Amino acid sequence: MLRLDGLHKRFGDIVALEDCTFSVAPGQMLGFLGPNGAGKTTAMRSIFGLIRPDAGQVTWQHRELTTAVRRSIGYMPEERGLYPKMRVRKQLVYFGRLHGLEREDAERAVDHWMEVFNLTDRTDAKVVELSHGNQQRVQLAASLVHDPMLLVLDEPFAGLDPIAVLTMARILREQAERGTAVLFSSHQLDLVEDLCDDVAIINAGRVILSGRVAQLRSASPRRYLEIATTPPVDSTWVTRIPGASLVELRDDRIRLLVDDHADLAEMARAAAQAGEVTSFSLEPPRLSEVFTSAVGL
Amino acid sequence: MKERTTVLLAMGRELGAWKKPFLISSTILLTVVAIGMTALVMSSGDDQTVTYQLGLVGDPPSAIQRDITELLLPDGRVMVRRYPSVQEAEAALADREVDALVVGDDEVVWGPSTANGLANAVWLAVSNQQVRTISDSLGLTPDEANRLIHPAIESRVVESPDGGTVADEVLSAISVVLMFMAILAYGQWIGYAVVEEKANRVVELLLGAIKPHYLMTAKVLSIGLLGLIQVTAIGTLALTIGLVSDQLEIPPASTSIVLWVIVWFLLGYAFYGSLYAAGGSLASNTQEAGAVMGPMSILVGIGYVLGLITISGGVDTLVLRVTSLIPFWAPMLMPARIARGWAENWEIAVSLGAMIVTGVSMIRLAGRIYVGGVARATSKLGWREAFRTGADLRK
Repeated sequence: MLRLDGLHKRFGDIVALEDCTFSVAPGQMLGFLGPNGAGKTTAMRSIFGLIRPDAGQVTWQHRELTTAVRRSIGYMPEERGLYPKMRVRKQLVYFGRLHGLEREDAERAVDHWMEVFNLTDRTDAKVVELSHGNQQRVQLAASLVHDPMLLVLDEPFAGLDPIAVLTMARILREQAERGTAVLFSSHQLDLVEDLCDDVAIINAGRVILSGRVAQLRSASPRRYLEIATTPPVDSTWVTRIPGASLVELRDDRIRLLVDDHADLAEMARAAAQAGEVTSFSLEPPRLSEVFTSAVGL
Repeated sequence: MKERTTVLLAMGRELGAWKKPFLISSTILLTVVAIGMTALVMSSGDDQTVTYQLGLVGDPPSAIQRDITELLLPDGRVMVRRYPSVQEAEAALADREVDALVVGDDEVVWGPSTANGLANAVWLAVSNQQVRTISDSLGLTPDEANRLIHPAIESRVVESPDGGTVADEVLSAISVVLMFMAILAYGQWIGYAVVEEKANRVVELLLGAIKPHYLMTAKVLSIGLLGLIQVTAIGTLALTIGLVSDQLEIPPASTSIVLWVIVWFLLGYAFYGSLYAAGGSLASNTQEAGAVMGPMSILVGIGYVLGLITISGGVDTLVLRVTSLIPFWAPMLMPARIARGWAENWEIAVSLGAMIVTGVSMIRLAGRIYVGGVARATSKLGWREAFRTGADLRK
């Protein structure tokens, strides 16, 4: 298990991490969320010894991280890092070997990932010659080639097209299913909600929420009422219902934030008067709503 | 996996990355050296024979003409023109038709085109003729006459304390120029290799697999190896052309001088190479790298200029003796002083000791700065900040 325990880090007057604590177990996929400047990258860089915390420690399986352990981690930095003029296959074999693979094993692994990422026709291309999406694929392949026991990915979905997002999401899920501990940061909260069972939300250097996504959602005191009608919803009646406020209005669907005193029966009646109700559901907040509430947006 | 293996892997990548620039620069340098050496050899091998026009008036003995011809060998030849009168001959001398005149067996006349070599030969030949005439009249045998003119005098040569031969001077110059070129060029390659890895952030991936000071070591060793190969190739080519064409005389001490040059190259390169690596780690892009590495290049340049002064001045000044002991400049100056035969053994020992001690300290210091520099992906860092970060990360 990877554990970041009570990390503190200051850069001059700026507090980058303050008692930052969370853990990722083998087979677990943890979404690491937070607004820009919250401390996500600092926390991730501390795993690789690129930053030394002022206090606290990072452990893997209850032991301090050594170079040998770090070699078995797959890392995708926020700012993508590859040798632009080096050929794809050669580069990936090099990274595989640096992480401890024999040449034959590295070559076999690279061929496998080239096939998975549909890059078999670009193996001899220089990285700089690839499209942004393909460079991103190669970057992920570099973090996977040595079959890591822990994957740390900083914004792996940034800048990807929808198909590439699906491919990457599938690969991460497969890795977690194989027993790899997966930690990744992202601003795409809906994607994180679909992909992860667990999240940790960091703000101002401190982990303010962490746990199972479903539990975090249900633990929220907020409830949302989603109503679908035909013809499209007329929202004017909402303003007349006490205890409800409009969150989102789409053609055939309205989403309301309701408080404990709201009269759901009255709301159902009002909606029925506005049109034929095809769906009426009371839900906990989405992950994005838990997030915005937690960070005070 | 052993750290040695990761260093070798990183060296392999580095060698691959610099292969093309290395081959291009080597091809250019070797071509320039080959052309330059060939031109030098060809020019030195050209027929340098000078033909002098000698005017004769009256009937000088043939021995005079023979002596002049022998004295001017091997570079000079004599063509003879005869004139019926001194006036005509002097007019021809004034018009540069002839270079000197011999009138009878006891008079010589110089003109505007009389070269020193010809003047000496003519003067000596006519003098010899006079000696022969006088010795005949005195009844002396040729041997007695010869002893009279050329008494047996023992002679020997004492080497100048500032001395050394021309070959020593050439070797000295080559060592300074090679050292300057190699340290500057390959030091900068290291700096740019470091900043390139930092600028494209690939260093963050690498540091997950290899300790930073090993990464720096791999860079310094691999690029240094290329430098050593190039320097050796240039030296070998130059020597080969010189030897094959039989135009280069290798002084007996040259082997030890070449070894000294290699030793000082390795020491100087390790010293400056690690300094350039540290400098490169402070920059976040190649423009910044140029600014950071500028002062280091100036340091190398000072050594180069002092080295050239050493050679051209021909005097082992106090300034030179002191600066050749200082590690910043010792790699350029000490081999030059050794080549000139100026360096005392204790000076060599002191400079070597200082270089090794300072070099090891510099490598450790540079390693710490490098660790701090590459770990900070922000804009340009200061030396102190990088050192503090590096010290912190290595705790």
